[in-house]
Amino acid sequence: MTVSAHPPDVDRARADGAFGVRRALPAIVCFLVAFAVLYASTYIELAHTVWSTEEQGHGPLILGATAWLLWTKREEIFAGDAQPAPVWGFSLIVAALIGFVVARSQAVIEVETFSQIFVLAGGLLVLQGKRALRLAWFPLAFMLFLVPLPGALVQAITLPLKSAVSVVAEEVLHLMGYPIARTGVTLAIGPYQLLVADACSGLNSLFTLEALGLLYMNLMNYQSRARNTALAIMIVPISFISNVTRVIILVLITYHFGDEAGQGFAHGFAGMVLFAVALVLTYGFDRLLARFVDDEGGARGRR
Amino acid sequence: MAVADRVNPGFKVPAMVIAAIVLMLIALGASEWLKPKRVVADELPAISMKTLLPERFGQWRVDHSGPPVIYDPTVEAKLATLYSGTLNATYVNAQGQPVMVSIAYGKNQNSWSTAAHRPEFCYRAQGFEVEPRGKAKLALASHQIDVIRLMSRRGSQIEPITYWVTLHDTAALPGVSRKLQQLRFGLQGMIVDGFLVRLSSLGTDEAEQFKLQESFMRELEGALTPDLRPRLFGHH
Repeated sequence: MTVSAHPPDVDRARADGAFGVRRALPAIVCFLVAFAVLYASTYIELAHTVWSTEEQGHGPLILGATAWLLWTKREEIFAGDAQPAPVWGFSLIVAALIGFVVARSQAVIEVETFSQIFVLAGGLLVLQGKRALRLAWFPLAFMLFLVPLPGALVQAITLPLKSAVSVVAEEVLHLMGYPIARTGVTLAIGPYQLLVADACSGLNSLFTLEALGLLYMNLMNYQSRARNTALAIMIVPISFISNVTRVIILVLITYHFGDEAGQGFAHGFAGMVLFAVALVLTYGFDRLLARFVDDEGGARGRR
Repeated sequence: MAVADRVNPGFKVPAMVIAAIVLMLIALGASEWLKPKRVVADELPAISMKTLLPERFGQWRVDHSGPPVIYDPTVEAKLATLYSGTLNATYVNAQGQPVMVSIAYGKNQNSWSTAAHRPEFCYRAQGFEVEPRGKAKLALASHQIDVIRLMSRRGSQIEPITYWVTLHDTAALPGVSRKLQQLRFGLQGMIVDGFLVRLSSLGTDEAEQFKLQESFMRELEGALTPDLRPRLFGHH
């Protein structure tokens, strides 16, 4: 048994929090059961369509992270007396439910998924009050990553992204002295022709990485807004660089070891490289930021 | 021991939370009740892809002389899951200029998996390079219709494309407006069908080919029966 490192007032707040959770437990459970009944078929639909694609398969991960974040904050959220804000709460719930009814009946899965964030937010306002919502804002906002990207948006971004990936990959390989040529999004190296497919645009890894990055920032609990913003923005170029690295690796594997290697095991391997590169770059950039933004209030505790 | 442990909060659910739960259950019921159930395609004359287009109309007639097109079986299989029916034909006019027409029919445009798919993506998937040429408003006999023009290239083969899509009896290009139109039908309880009509011809002179396709389109509209016309071209 270790001695609690927290000052006594924090311990008291925690105890109060535990009490708060217990006091509100029946209401929380009833609300969550209704929520689950309401959205069960949304999740079944998501599991069958969007999550089973390679493109936006990060859904279950986001859901798990959201649940875990809310769970770890449960005592803080329900600490103190409930001060429900029914006007705001019911406004949010009713607006979200109208969106839900239209979306569910007309099969607009994006809006259907989106609406749950506001049902939960309204639920917190009704159960506990504005303070609870303020404390839970991050997990709720994080649920945005559960919303499938509208097809039109994906289509609008994918092509320019794909072209940029091909151009940069060609330039880099050219500088490295490889016999490479490019027409549109087709790369020709030696005897091989490689088409940079939609899946190689990096759009989907961009969203997965952005989600992971935000989660990382939330866990590190930096107090500096500048640091958080810089990190969140840098994830975009970092994910682009990682994706170009992946494409280059695939091209090189195909060139040196043949078509089969490039399409076989190496494809999965290159995907892992993408995430490894992204993690190293993100962490490296974060350390770099630490030199400029002196922030004691990181993961090691708030001042 | 903290004070909290000695207090038994008991099983109590505030009325407000119960109200929220009731609202959620009402929403669930309402969403089931509002789901469209009328399959409009079943109430209208059945669509037979074989006899959809006339063998000849205006100055155009079906050209059977070309080599039979052989399709990739995987593409065929994919098409069969997407559409209720497809049709491919080549027409030639009096001057011998060919126009290829390709029509896909989907009975249920409400479902994500059977909704019309944009040709620019199908073409790209088959190794064509596709460049957008923007939207155009073409005048038909009594109304205008929005079409999308594309330029596709594979090797030395250059093929300008004009396409449009319909939803029930209206023309609606993919995008937000189509989604809204679908909502409008859906909230009236209708599951609507739709066509995707694609015209293409081979030739390097874009302007000329697009003009040729436009004239084909106008004559085709005039040749269709009144009950089929809005379904392929929309109305008003």
